[in-house]
Amino acid sequence: MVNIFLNRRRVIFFFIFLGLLFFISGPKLPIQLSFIFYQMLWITMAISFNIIYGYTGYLPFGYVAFYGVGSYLTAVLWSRLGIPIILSIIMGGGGGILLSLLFAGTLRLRGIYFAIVNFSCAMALRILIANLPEEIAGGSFGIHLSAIYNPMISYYVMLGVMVLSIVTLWRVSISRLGIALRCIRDDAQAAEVMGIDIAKTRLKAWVLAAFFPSLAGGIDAWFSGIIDPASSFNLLITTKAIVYAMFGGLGTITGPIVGAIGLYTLDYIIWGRYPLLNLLILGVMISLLVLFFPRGIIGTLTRRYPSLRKVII
Amino acid sequence: MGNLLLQAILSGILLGMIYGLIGAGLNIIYGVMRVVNFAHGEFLMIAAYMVYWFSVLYKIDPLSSLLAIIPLFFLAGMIIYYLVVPRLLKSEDPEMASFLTFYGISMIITALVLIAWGADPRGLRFPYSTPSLRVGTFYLSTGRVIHFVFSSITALALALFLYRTYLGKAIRAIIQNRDAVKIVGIDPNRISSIAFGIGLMLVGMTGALIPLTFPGITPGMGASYTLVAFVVIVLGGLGNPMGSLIGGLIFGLTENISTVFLPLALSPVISFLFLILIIMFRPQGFLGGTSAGS
Amino acid sequence: MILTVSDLTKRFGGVVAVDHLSFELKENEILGIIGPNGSGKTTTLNCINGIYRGDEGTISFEGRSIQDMLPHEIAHLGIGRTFQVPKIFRKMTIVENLLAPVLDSPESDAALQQKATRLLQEVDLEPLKDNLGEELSGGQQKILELARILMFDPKMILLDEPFAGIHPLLRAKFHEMILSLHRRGTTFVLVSHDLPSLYLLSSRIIVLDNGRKIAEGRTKEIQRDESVIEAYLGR
Repeated sequence: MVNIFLNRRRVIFFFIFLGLLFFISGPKLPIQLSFIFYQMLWITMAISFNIIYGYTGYLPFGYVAFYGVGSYLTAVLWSRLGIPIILSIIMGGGGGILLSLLFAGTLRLRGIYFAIVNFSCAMALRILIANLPEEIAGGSFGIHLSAIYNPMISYYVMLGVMVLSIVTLWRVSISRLGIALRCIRDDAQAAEVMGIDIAKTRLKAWVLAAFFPSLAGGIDAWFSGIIDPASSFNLLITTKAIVYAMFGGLGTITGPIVGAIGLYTLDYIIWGRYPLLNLLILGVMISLLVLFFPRGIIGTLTRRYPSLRKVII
Repeated sequence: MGNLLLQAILSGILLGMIYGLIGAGLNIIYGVMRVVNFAHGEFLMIAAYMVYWFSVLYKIDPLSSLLAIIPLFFLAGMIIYYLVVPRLLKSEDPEMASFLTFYGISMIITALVLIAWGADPRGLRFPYSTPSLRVGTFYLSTGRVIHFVFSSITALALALFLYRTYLGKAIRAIIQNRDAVKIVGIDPNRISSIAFGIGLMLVGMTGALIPLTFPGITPGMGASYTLVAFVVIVLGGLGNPMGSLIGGLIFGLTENISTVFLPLALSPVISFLFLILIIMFRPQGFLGGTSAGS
Repeated sequence: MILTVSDLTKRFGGVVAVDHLSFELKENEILGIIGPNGSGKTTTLNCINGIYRGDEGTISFEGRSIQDMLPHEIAHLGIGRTFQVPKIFRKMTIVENLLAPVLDSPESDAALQQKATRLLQEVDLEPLKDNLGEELSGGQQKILELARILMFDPKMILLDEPFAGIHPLLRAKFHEMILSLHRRGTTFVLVSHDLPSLYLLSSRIIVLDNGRKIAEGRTKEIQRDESVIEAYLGR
């Protein structure tokens, strides 16, 4: 009987409809706009983080670099070169892609080395940007974008990017690239022997995963009106992306969405009341997740109830 | 310039030995069970805070504090091992799992210290009589010299331990091949827990004396030491604890000499650059160790 | 000669796994390789495949030198490989397993699916097509491994202990598959401890010991030299 209602398509469409309804009517709802905005931002971050970590097992411990580059490139292009904000944001995304290509060579390293090198690059980038001449990048004080402050439009741009990221992840997962990625994750040597070019496949996922956080950084710069090196390259951004994606369940589409919604809401509430606890809770969550629930919510659920696999992708 | 350079070199050597010891601890932990202890620097920080409180509350100086710190950290290491590591080894990717778990632990420790003692830096008043020694035309801070001497003695003891004692050789054996040692009758679990204890003990000792070299301590200071530890072990070769000492010296010298030519703010970039270049182009480190690349 | 291995040497630290090994393979031959454990059989296959890079020597396939190529490039030349313990994708469905080798193919998804279904029907695995790799029995996994290779119509297949631990009925099925592929022109290198199967299928056999070739000849000759073989395999 339940099977009739659990028809996969219907369930998915239902949730998509609900979600879109909620986010589109965001500004009209009696909820703080910034809460929903950052909800969308974190969904985007978790989803694209999943493309690289969930599908290739490579942990980009310097993930914040894409966000930071996107936000800085956007701010600099707009404020110093007068390029229209939307174009600046897109170019910020392009900057993220360039950065990912620059570090393509690191993809051949073993997982742990990749994580360390990636982290070092992000931190080095932060210091370099903070020490650029103030005329270029605003030094440690950052750059203001208050002149084009427009929460409404930037909100909807973020919505568009979030939807794009989800659609991208979906298309990748059902595409040949998705199959190749899952083969590599399953047994890299077998994949190689079957003719899959591991380096090229990983690179494709890497570049895709770099595009969206860079866009998000640029849009966030627009929405919040100010950026500085400490917040644009804040290590906690990587941490949250990791925790949100892992909590929901890597290697799925619903996983990062569920994780981002659940944990960001929790984070928002706690941050409001007990800011010092924030760091503690994040730390506890990461350790517990890795030790006891490496598959996250969705992963653990689909393990217990394999029939759910037909409904949840 | 020449004077500045010479001063930098001396500084580099003094610091290098300290860095080397921090790295050696991390290396033993990694080598024995492929556990990436991302919280290494935070343990150092705890030791520093403990020494601070010992001195403020009980007027005990850092060297004497070692009597408490050494057994405490060794025990803590063994306890943490038994609590966490068996679980980690069971996961699909133990290295990444340990990386993330200890990253979480580093955040927990930092958060707890922040909550307990606030973010303001604490300063340890120098407890010994002569604040600086005069050597020819140079002034050396006594604290650093004491720390250096002590670190050197510890390094020597470590070398003797690893190469002359049965336990030490067992540890080196496990680093080379964890499974093979079972054949020889060594229990890898017991030895690993001891190794973990030693690793933590080393970092605790360094942390206890760190206020002699860098008097200011803050909850966030752990991160830079973890970074240093990573650079050092990669430089000297993963799985090669004594190599870390050389790695530490190389790094200490480079870091200090570069401050003569570059603005201070950019010196962490040197660390990062070092790390990136070595991992990319010579993953086995300058001295070679267990396989590290893809 | 479709495959020429010349002076191949592979060392692991102090151990010489393959020691100046040379042999040739004619097109459409089935070459058997036997030898005690540790004699370098699997290592040789790994070198041909690109999984290892030989320290010395050359390997050429269809006149092209391949010893420096990456495994996926070698696969694209038309060389397939099975493993002693089947290396199928455990967490992916049977169908997805079959699609893995042809992801770069310009053919449409529908055409590839059709081909996969056809192959699965030929090997009686079609009803299990949506099951995960890990849900198959050992014997079924071995069949899947072979079927997977057939997706890209290989010119040469390297078989590493294909008969290890499988039911006699299944073994007969394997013989059938190999012989039928052989009739269609495929070349084989067969590493096996299963002497009856080896004698049945191979036209030529080489015997390895400690990384060196100690005997080579037509199957009948080697068979007659049973004593030599028993001496080594009996160890």
